[in-house]
Amino acid sequence: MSPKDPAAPTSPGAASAEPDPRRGQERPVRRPRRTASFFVRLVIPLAAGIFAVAFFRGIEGLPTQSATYPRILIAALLALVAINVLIEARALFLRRPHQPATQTELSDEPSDEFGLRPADLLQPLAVIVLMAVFVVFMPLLGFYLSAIVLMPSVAVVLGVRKLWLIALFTAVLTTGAYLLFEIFLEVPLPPGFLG
Amino acid sequence: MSDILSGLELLAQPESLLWLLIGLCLGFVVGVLPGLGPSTTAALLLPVSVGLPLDSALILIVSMYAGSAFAGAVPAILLNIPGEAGSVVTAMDGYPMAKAGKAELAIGIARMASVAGGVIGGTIVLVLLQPLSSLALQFGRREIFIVAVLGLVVIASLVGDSVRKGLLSGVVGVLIAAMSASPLTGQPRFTLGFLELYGEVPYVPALIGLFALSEMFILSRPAVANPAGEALADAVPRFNLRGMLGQALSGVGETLRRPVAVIRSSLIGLGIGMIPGTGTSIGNFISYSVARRQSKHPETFGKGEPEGVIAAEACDNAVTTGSLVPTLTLGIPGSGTTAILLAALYLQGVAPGPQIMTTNGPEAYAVILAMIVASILILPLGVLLATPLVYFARLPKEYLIPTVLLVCIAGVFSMRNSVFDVGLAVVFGVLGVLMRSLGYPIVPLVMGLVLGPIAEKNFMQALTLGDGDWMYFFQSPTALVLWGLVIVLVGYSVLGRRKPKAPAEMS
Repeated sequence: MSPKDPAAPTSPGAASAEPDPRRGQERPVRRPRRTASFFVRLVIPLAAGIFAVAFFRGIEGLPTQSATYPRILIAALLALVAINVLIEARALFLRRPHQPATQTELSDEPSDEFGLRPADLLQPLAVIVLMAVFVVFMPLLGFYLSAIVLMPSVAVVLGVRKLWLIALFTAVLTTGAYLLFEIFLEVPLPPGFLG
Repeated sequence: MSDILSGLELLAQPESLLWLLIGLCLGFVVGVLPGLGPSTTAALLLPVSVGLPLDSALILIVSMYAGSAFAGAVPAILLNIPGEAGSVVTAMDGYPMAKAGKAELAIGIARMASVAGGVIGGTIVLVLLQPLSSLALQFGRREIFIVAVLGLVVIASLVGDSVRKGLLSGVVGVLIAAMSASPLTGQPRFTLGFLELYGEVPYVPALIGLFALSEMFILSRPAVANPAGEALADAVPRFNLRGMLGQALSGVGETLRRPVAVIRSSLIGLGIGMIPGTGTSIGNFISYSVARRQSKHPETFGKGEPEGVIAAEACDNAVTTGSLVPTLTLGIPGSGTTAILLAALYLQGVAPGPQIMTTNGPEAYAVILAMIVASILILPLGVLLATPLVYFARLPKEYLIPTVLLVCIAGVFSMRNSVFDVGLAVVFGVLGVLMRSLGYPIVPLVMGLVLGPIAEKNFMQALTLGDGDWMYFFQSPTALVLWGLVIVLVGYSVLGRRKPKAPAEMS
C-alpha cells in the first residue's frame, strides 16, 4: 500500500483538540455529522448483505450438493453484516448529545486517509468513467484507437494542459503498448473496426 | 537434494537469470516509486508471466519482491517517506542518519542487511521446505480445509485496524469465488447469466482491479500530488561511483560488525513471514523493538543507530522469503504478493499445496534459490542502480496513472481475449476504492478469492469422505488443534482489538 500521503487533507470531522485561550482548557472536539457518517459507514456492510441475499435467492432450487457450501458462506456473511451494523450503531447512538465527542471515541472513525469529500471524488470519478467508456468502446474502436482517444483524456483530467506534451505522451504510450504486447509478448489486442 | 540441484539448473539458464535481473531492477523502481507497491506490480506482471515458462514467471515475481523490499528503504532514509510499508521502521534510524550527513552509509547498511536477511532466510527455507511439505502431506482434506479457514482468519485479523471488517471482507471474497459452477454438479451458481463465470471467477482481473486499478483511482485525487518525488530526487546524493563504492563497503563493514543483530532480525523475519498475513511492517516493528530491548544502549535508537536500520532491513527481506513457505507448502498465501504468486502457479496449471514438492519440486526450489540470488545481487546492483533509480520518484502521477491503466487493460484482456475480464477488473477497481475509502481492507478479500476454491474443494471432499457427517471435521487430533487455533486467534483478535494501528498491509 502507498505510504500515507503527507499532503492528504484531514476530513472535516477529524478530531482536533485546541486549547481554549479563554479558559485555558481543551476545547471539546467538533463532532462529525453523525447521521451522514453513520450511513456512509454502513455502505459496505449493507452492500454485502444485499449481495448475500441476492446470492441466496439465486441458488434457490439448486440441489444440496451445489448449494450447501454457498449457503454456509451466506449465513456467515449475514452474521458478520449484522455484527458490523450493530457495532456502528452502538458507536453512534451510545454517544449522548450532552457529551462532547472525544478523541478516543472518534478513533473508531473510518480512516480519513482517502476521505470522501466531494472535492476529492471528482477526479477519481472522472477517471473511472473514462475507464468504463474505454471498456464499452474498445470492441468497436479497437484497443489502440480507444487508447489514443481516452488516455489523453485521463491526462487532461489529471491536470496536463500542454497539447504537445499530451500528444507526445499518447504517442509514446501507444507505441510502447504495441511493442510490449504485439511484438514482445505476441499478444494481439482488439483491432476493432480497423481489423 | 536432487530437486535442489534441478532447481539450481533451472535458475542457471540464461533466460531465468535475465528475468531475475529484470525483476530485481523492476523491484528497485517499484520500491522507490510511491503509488506502485510490490502487490500492484506483481498483479501487473501476471499477464506477462502467463507467456513465460513456469520457472521464469515465478523468478520474475519473487525477484521483484526482493528488490522492492530493499529499495523502499531509500526514500525512507533520504526523506523519511517509506517506499513500502515495511520501510516505516527503517526511517526511524535511517532518516536521522541522513540528517547527520550519513545518508549513503545508512543506505549501505540497509543494502547489506537486506542481502543478509534474504540469504539467511532463503537458506533456512531451502533446508526446511522438504520437511515442512512432508508434514503438510499428512494433512487430509478436512485439515487442508481448516488450514484455509485458519489462513483467512489470520489474515482478516491482522490486516487493517478492525477484525470484523477484515472478516467481512474475507467472507465476501470467498462468496464471490463461489459465483461459478458447482465443482460437484457443474450447475451454475449465481453467475448472472455470464458464461465467463462458469469456470470460476477470473481472479486475475479481480487482483489487477483490486490492487492496481483501485490504487490508480485513489492516486488520481487532487490532494495526492507528488511533492515527495521532487524533494526525494533533490535529496539523492550526486552520482559518484567511487564514493558510492566506498560507502557501500562501509555499509558492509558496519553490518557485518553486528552479526548477532543480523541473525536475530533475520530469524524473526523468517518466523513472522511464515505466518500468513503478517507482512513486513509487523515483522519490522517486532524486530526493531527486540533489537532496542536487547541493546546495551537503547537510548540511541531513533537517533541514528545503525542497528535500528539493520533490525528493520534484515527482517524485511527475511519476511519476504518466509512468506513463500505457506504459499508453496500449503497453498495458503503468506502475503498479498504471494497471493499473486499463487495465482501465477494456477495460471500455469500447477496446484500449490503439500503435493507441490512431488509434482514441481525443482520449480519450487528454483523460486527459493532465485530469492537468495536476488538478495545477493542487491549488493552490486543496489550500489549502481538503487540511488539513481530514485529519480523515477519524480515521475508525475499525470503520466504514471494513464500508463498503468493502459497496461492493466491490455494485460487483463490478453489473459483470455475477453472484454468481460476488463470490465470485471474495472468493477473490482471501483469496489477496491470504496472499500479502502471506508476502512475495509482488500487483502482479506483477495485471500478469499484465492482460498475460496481451495476451501470449497476440500470441504466437499471431506464431507464426502465423512459420509455427510459434519462431526467428521472434528474427528482428528490435528483437526481439533487447528480449530482450537482458529478460536483462540479470533478470540484474541476480538478481545485485543484496541491494538496500536499498524500500517495497512498490501505486500
